[in-house]
Amino acid sequence: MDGHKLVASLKRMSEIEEVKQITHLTHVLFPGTHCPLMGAALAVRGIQDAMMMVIGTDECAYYTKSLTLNGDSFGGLDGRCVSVVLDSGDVTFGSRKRVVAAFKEMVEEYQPKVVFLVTTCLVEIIGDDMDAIADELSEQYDIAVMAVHTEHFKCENHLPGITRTLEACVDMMKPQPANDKVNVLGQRMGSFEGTELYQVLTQSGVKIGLQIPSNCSVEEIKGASGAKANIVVNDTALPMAKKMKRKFGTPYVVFEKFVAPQRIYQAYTQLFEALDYPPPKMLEEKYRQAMEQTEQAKQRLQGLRYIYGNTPYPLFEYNRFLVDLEMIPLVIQTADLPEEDLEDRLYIQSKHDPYLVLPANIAPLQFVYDVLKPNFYLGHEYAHRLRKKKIALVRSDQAASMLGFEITHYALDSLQKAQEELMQMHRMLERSPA
Amino acid sequence: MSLVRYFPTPSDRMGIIWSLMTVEQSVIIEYGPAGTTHYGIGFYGALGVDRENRIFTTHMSEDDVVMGDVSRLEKAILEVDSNLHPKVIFIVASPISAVIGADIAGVCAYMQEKTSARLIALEQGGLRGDYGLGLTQVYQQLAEAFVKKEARQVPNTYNIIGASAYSRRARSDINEIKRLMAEAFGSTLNACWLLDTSIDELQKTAKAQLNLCLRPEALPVCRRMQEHLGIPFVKGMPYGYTGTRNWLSLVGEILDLPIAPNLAKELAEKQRYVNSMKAMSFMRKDRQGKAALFGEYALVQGLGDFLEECAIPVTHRVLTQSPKVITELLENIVYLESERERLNVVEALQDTLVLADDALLHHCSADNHKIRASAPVLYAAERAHHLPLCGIHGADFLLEEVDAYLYPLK
Repeated sequence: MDGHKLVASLKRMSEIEEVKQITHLTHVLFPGTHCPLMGAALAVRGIQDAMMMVIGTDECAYYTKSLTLNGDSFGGLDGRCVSVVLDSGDVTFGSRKRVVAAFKEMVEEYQPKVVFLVTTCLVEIIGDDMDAIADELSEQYDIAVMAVHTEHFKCENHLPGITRTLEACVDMMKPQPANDKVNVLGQRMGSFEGTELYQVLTQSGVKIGLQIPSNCSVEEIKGASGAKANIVVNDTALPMAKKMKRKFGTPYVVFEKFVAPQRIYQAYTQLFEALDYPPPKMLEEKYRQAMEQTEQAKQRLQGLRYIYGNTPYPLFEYNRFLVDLEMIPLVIQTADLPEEDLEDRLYIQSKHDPYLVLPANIAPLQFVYDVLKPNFYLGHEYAHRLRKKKIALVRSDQAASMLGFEITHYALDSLQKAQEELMQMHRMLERSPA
Repeated sequence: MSLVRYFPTPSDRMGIIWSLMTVEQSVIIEYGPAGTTHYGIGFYGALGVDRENRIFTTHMSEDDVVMGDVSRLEKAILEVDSNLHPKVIFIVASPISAVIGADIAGVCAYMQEKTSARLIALEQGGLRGDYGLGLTQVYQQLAEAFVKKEARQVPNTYNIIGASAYSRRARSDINEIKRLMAEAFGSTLNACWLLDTSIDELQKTAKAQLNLCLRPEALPVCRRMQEHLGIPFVKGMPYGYTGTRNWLSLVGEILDLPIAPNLAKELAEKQRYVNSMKAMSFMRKDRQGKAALFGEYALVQGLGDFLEECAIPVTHRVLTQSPKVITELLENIVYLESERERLNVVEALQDTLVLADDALLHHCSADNHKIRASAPVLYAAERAHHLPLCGIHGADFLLEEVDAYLYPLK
């Protein structure tokens, strides 16, 4: 594979106006992106007493069941994930009969409180009306049954599966008397209780209500509409928050895993305004410390070149932060260009003009490294493979269970650790015989 | 009865992919949404299949689905051909490309002149049947593509036809068969269909003197090779001591060679222990024991017979794959299509020696003696390649399990 040819085929940020213009590095992908079916499984995993019924091919059923065996959240082999496998007869005559029969078996054996009927590419191709089937089953068995559509040929990754599952949860809710709790929407990994935001809120006397989809029950979802506000901690939950606002008037504040201290401070301020609570004094000190560490880190990180893969942080906000550290983005992998990120994109573009490519295709990236010679790779890659090319891996997975200024500290520590690793690699190179 | 609580039987497409992934000098391009490929990577990894530069996806957009645009596939083929230079590119349909009727064979036909690699389309798509059907079809397609009559056969060589990465202890069984063939006749393996092989190896298939047909799915291709190339075959797996001796005798007849005396002696000695077990079985009236087997055809047949030889009556021989492609189904083997039916059988077992997969074993009560003998294997990666279920070593292992099972029975 010719790395120069690959790079020559890439488009820079300034050349791209809409997401369809972002291309893959190559026409074939490995491993390729995850699909929304997996996203739906990740979301249902956190809803303790919800059942997931996958409707699709043997493969979709097989792999999803395998996924649910990781950890205890789904309840292991006897857990909350079951499936209906379709064959060519169902493709021709429709899957309704099979789904209805399987549903009956499932209700008898599992007595579920809530069921997500998760469609796959096949169901969407043959056009079965799974929403109508869900309504019919819901009425027949007097339990909430919601269809979640997860066809992968209409999207680029697994995130729509999470978004649609969360949106479907709103259909379970009924109007509730107002209370003084806040819901946390989009806490996908880790525990919200372990975050700085949780500490700040609880120390200020704010009560936490629903936490979805990391750790919640069906009853908590049903009663969530009366909350004082929703905190959206991941953009996959934004449509859910908007739907709750439309349906029940629940206001929401976006407080994602921002990295830049200014953005975090702003999010805290907006949140306490929405809650009508005075912001705690400690925030000023936390902000000052985060700013101070940022300035110190800048001395060590400026001029370092990176390729961005994927992280738990908001993509363009984080890259803007890195650009402010005077780091140089060479390639940013993204499957989305959200309108609300336009300002960040334009800012990055005003300083640099990185290539934009679609993610999850690490095989050809190996050849791009030889041409662009990055210092860092930010995201998931094989560290030993990168090391051979004198590239340090910047890890960020632990940020999945953080919110607030702790993210600034963690992100900067990770970057500085990678910088040390880089120095070490160069020292070893100097010492090694020619 | 259509609810799947655990794992469905893998599809024809899955069987095709795990087989092709073990063929060196080739690359698979999946024509379909990327998620299936990514999702499958872990599964194929668990089967011990190398994935680096072996499988790629084109992904597929709504435009491709609605408009039937195959330009994405065309570009993918050219790219893999020029970048990786494989001898063969297998284009595997996804359920989606199969349902919309994408003409993958047509694309391969007109793209062939533009590529150095040979293009082979596999259009099954995962909706026609289970992996048994996929194995039958992939053996036949590859035979059509690569097996040509050879001017001269290499004496005392054989092919294994019907090895499959999904079978429990597949690599160990292959190693045991290789050992038996070498020790009994000094024979060497020519080509292994389709596990840990290469295009070069497949192309020299017709040089072998004999085919060892390990599974019913491989029978059609073995018959065809016998008819067109004059390569005789021996069918079945060498399970148990008697089974192994009989199997070796059939092989020896074709090779016109006697079983080496040392091996024959070893088999006879081992067989004596089984005979004594049988003779003594009346003494263990209160602990006769019984067995139930769940798995692939050759396993439930061969290991079932061995256990009966050990005076352990087999109450159930349950096929966990469709018998669609099995032409000679024995009456004592049943296929239970629905998972519920299989669970009902398993849940009713008591004080039984049970050979099955992890999901079914999970459902056996604790008073049963459980042996992991079938796929899926859920709780352990298969690392050992020297622990067979077949041959002398496989029978040794099983006998130890039988002893352990019978000892505490009251």
